[in-house]
Order: sequence, then structure tokens, then C-alpha cells
Amino acid sequence: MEENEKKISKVGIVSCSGEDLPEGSISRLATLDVLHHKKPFDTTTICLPLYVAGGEGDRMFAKNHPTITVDGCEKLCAKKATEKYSGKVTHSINVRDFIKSSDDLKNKSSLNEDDKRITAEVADAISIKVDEILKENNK
Amino acid sequence: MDYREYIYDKFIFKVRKGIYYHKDGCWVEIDGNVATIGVTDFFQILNGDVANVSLFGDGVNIKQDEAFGDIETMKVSVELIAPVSGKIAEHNDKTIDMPELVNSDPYGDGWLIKAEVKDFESAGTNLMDSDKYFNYMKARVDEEGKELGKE
Amino acid sequence: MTSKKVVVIPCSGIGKPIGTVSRETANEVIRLRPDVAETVCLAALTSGDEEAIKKVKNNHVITLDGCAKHCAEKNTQAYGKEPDKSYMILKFAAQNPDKKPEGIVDIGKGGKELVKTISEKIISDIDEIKQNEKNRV
Repeated sequence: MEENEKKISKVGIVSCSGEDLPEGSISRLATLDVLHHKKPFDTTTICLPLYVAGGEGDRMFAKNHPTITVDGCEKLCAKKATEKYSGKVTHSINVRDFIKSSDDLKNKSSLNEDDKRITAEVADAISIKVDEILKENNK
Repeated sequence: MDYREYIYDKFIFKVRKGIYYHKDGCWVEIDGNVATIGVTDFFQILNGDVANVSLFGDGVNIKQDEAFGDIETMKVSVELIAPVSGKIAEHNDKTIDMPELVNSDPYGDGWLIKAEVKDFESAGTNLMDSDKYFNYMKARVDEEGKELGKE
Repeated sequence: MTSKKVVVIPCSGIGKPIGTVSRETANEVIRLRPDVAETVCLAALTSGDEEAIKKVKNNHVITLDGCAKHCAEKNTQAYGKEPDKSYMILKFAAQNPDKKPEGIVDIGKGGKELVKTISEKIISDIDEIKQNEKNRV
């Protein structure tokens, strides 16, 4: 490799997959909302399964840029994987912190209005953190 | 194979040294009068996961700057533009059966066709060497980079 | 002897619509075969979660990858389990060009039809796995 140029400072968002949990769906949807609508030019998605399987570009990005991990449960898979392969997580979010009671989430494959509200709150929290991180980095 | 790399966000764009490049996405490696042709790393990253590859048959004449087949990805259907003129001598069956090779190994196992070329020298004036192509690709990435990874 | 389940592991890649198709296909298969099929979180498996590892080691496994990076298959193999079957959504998409997923959040009508097509194939294979298991007993 002769040349290696970094380009554009962005925040990488690493979401868990959360197959067995509605919180996993919320983590994923909130992340996508930030990536595609709220902060499309300030963020990049790090695909967690690719990242763990050895995705060179994703791992290099996470090493050289600030990252926000979004997890659905106490297993903190996204946070652990990012720490393992990139050494640091700038900020960690757990969807469970946004849920007032365990009754809030019932159906794992489709979300009702309350679930969508939680998704929006998580997306807002991610966006606020993105702004804070970029402001801090650009001082 | 020796490469130059340009990193943009989480994307690593590889440019293979020692071969030639056409602005519309194909590379060509010349060995005597045989040209091996494939698509660049930039092309496969920009256009996405390849689902199907369709190529003109063996014995068919191809013309520089004109189509010799097309690639269908999950995002788009894109014409393959010939970097040189010649006659198709061989096409890569492996890539037809496993089009994902175009994504995973665009400069190696993901090659598309071999063509017999009569006059590479004049074709070469319309091609870029790897250094020129690197700069061309870098400018394109900087221009289109914001759309990368958005599906 | 306790009958083995079939653990369906999607890649759930977040960057592409075919990642969402893999996830929704796994959900659909489990919905149609709740007595036999279940899933495990790939990220939990690769973070060394004991429950996830045990589930995978003690049951049949089917992996569902969106693209040719084969993350679900590779990560499952890395944790000591060779899948009974491995699928790539991209191949199904290539064979069904009229069923193209539209977006990552909402795969649209085409994507849902693709999910249905793939689910039918996987269920047929699950039934075959279970039949072979019965025949061996």
C-alpha cells in the first residue's frame, strides 16, 4: 500500500442486530433514522456483522473516527465488539434506558405507536450526541 | 498484485498498478495481443452487489467506448463499456456463475473477458495509467462520496 | 432424546436492503415453523454469549447472508459450528428480478415477495432436515 488518505470527519454508528428482542428492532430503526434522515452527512453506518467478520474498511473507520454504539440489551454486543476491534467507544447508548417498563415492548417483529415513540427518542439522543462529538472534535 | 489505495469514510478504493483504465469503469491488462478486461474497484463499490453479469459471446467484435455487456446489481443495471477494440476470445464462466466475484475480487478472479487486440497502441491514447486513474477516481469519489453506502 | 431445533441466523446487515431481507426472512420462517425454528442474535454469538453458543452447538443451524461477504456463515463457523445449510439472499434476488427489495427500513412489496419465496425454500429444507433426523432414530 503506497498511499492512505483520510477523508472527512464523521461519526460511525454501530447498532446491534437484536434478533430476539424488540429493543433490537428499535436500535436498528433509530440508527437508520439518524443515518438517512437526521444526520446523513455527519454519520456512517458500521455494519456490525461485517465488522466482526473482519470488514477492513469498517474496522479502519472505527479506529480513526469517533463511534456511537447502540445496544438493545445488557449484553452490549455492539459496544463490546467496537471496543475489541477498535479500542474505544466515544459514546454508548442502551435502548433499555429509554423504556419505562418491561410492558412497553411486546411484539418483536412489528412496533406499535409507543415503540415508535421510543425509537424517535433514541434517534434524537443519537443525533444530539453526534452534534456534541463533532463540535468537540472540531474545536 | 500491487495497489494504491484511497480511503473515503469506511470505503477503501483500490487501484491496481501496472494496468490501464477506461473512464467508464473497466480496466485492461495487455499481454502480447491479448487484453484481459474487468471492472474497477470503484465501479463495484459505486454500483453495489452484483446479481447478474451478461456478456457478448466469444468471437464477437467489441469496440472501444461501446458496450460489451451489462451488469445488474441490487441498485442499478449498468452497461459495460469496452476499454479497447478487439474480438472476444474468452469470457469468464466463473464470474457468470458467481457474479459476487466482481465485488470480492474485481482485479483478479472477477475478470470478465479476454479479447484479441490488433492495435493497443492507438487504443492506449484513450486510456489512463494507474497514476492518472488514481487521480481521476479520487476526484470522482470526492464528488460522489456523500452518496456512497446510501441504499 | 430431545429433538433438535433449527436455529436460523440472519446476517441482518444494516447497510443494505438485502440485510433487512435476511432478517425478515428469519422472522417469517420462525413465524411459520414456531415449533421447530428459532433464531439467535449473531452479535451475541460473536461476543461469546454462552447461551447463544450453546444454542448453536446443540442444534441444527441455517445461516442467511444478504451478500457475498457471508458474515453470518463466517461468524457461525468461527464459533465452531458448520451450518447445515447456508443461503445468500443475493442469489435469490438474482433469480427473482421482479422481486427487488426497495429500501433498508421498508423493503416494499418486491422485498416482501422475495421474503416469501426464500422462506418457502428454507421451510422445505427445514422439513427435510427434520425428516432425516426422524429417519435416523
